[in-house]
Amino acid sequence: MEREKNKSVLMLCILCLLLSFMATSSYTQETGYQENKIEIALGYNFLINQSVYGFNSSTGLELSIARQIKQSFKAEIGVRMEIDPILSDGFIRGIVSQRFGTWRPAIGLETGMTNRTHFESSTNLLKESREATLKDIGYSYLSTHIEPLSFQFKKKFNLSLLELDIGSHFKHLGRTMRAQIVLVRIKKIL
Amino acid sequence: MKLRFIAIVLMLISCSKEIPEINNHTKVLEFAQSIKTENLYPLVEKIYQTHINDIPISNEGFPSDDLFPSDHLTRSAAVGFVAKELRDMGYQVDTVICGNQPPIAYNIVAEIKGVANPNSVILVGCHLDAFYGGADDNTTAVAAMLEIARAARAFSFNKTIRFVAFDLEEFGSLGSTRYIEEGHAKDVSAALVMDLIGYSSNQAGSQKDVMGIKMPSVGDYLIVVGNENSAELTQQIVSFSHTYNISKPLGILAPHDGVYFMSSVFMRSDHGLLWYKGLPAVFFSDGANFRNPHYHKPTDRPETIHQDFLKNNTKLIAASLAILAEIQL
Amino acid sequence: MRKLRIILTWCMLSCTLLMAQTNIIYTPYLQSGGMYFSSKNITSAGIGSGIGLCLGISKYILVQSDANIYWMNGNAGAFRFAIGYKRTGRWSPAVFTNLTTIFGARTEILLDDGARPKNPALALSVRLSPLRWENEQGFISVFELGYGFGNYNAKYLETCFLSLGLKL
Repeated sequence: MEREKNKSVLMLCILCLLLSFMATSSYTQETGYQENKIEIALGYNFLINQSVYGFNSSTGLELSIARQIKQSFKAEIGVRMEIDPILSDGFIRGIVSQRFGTWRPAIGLETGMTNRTHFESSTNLLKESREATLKDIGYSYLSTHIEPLSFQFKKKFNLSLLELDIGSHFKHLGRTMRAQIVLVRIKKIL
Repeated sequence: MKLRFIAIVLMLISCSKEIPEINNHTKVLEFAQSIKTENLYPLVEKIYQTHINDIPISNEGFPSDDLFPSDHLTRSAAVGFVAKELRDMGYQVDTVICGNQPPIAYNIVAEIKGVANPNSVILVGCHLDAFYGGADDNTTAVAAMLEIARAARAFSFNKTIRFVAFDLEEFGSLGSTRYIEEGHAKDVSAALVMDLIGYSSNQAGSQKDVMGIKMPSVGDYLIVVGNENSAELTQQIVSFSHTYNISKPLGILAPHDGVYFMSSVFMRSDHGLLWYKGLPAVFFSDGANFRNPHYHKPTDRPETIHQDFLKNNTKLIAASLAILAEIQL
Repeated sequence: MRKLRIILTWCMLSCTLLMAQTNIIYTPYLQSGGMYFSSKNITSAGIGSGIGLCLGISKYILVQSDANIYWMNGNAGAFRFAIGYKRTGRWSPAVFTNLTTIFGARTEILLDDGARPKNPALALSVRLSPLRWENEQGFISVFELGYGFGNYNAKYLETCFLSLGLKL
């Protein structure tokens, strides 16, 4: 019963998000703003992946391409690669942003597939329990993405610091928690 | 004053559930009172001595530290002791060997067949391995299980009761994880698991909060932990104890199935994987390192155990078993 | 639950009446943050995100309502209804009074007789939003902090890392 309620809340959140995105399509265009511009970005991130018996972290690089769809709405697709060992993510995002001078804060929803859940452990302690509980976690996840310190400079470049993604895997939602900090990300508008 | 008024208003507009009733109250109480508490402490001393006189097993792959002195883990003599005690009571005892790489786990199993519903198995578990002598962790629970097994021979239950002394819990619940993963627990419908049930303190501040969860600061209670699957049983246990003044339990319900980060501390024993698999299980503990200063230390000796606390807890666990296994009139 | 439905219905009716006024500014928003509800009988906490609607009913008064989901202690949810007072201008810090209903996953400590604590948990809090800016498109607010109390002598802490709204 509780799980059904939680699923309903989640679906309600996603539905409201979609409705608000549709609502933004009625905004008037800001003077001089260009739609359909493409942006590429390169970033360096730190991921914490937490499950009941495991608390693992890794660093990695990410590369993404975004397209401005409306004034404040952007769609983005990208990949991440953990450095050691080599594990990967693929993701898509819908982002809503604001403009205050050079400050470009943004927030959005991200979903993707990730292999960065199964970590080798340096000790055998709880290894078998961890393997038993991670067996059916699944690869797809949902998270929110925020860019509180994103700044545009020289019209075509954007520097973003300390972006934060907080989420969980779809299967057994809530059993794992993904917290990712993008330490630095540089974007260029093509 | 205004704040209290608003708090009362807030409380009144929310709601709570009724506690489910227990069948055969009197028989449950009779079973709890049949526990010979004078047997418990001598058992603790005997099992403690078997650990002290035993040779630690190899801790290869399990590096040692302060909270985890893996180079001082003993279990071999305890395996033999528990098996012998159960055989002497008249049980058919099986040694379920689990794992295909070292360290191999030796779980000791004995059963009482249920009369009306023998295919439904209630598992009563505790781990028999220990660091150093391990008086509280975990000879108290082993002693309790053996005494409950002795008392249970004189009663009939609708469901089958399976007593399991798990091996290598201190190495990350290896015995129970393998027992479950290898399919030996397919017929288990519910479980009661005990881990450290003998230490209490009446000093303020003796009980620490547990991962952000506020606990009463005087550590004189038995922690009885369930999850959403075992919520009713946990409520019944606390209610029964309250009604008949058996012990002093603190009932805790972990969120949903309990398999989350903040509630992971409540999964730190042999019931953890049962929760993960969706089986109702209730866990009994005195709070481990959040209360007992002798946790995983050579000072975990029988003289640090509080005998009345252990006796009352054993009676309550016996009552819990009688409720769960549906004791017959 | 019945009383809760009455309260929520009252909130929705109030919002509807407010919406009937023609000079209200509607701003849906997304936010990311965390909360920690701690009492002797209930602990609910997590970090996560939410979606809501902000109504600017005058130059100074805001009414907000949002739904949030938090992860770390299971899937905890929170519905929040807030009334706030803000400064006019580009930099528009605000202070809100929130009534929050917390449901979903939580750790419970049973009452002495075995009864479960009441569900849902409720919290009344004050939230400060000092780093808040508005423009023609909407608003942005970072690092909000709230503190309050709730059932069973609970302390309630909430934080919002970022909240971004776009006007309709």
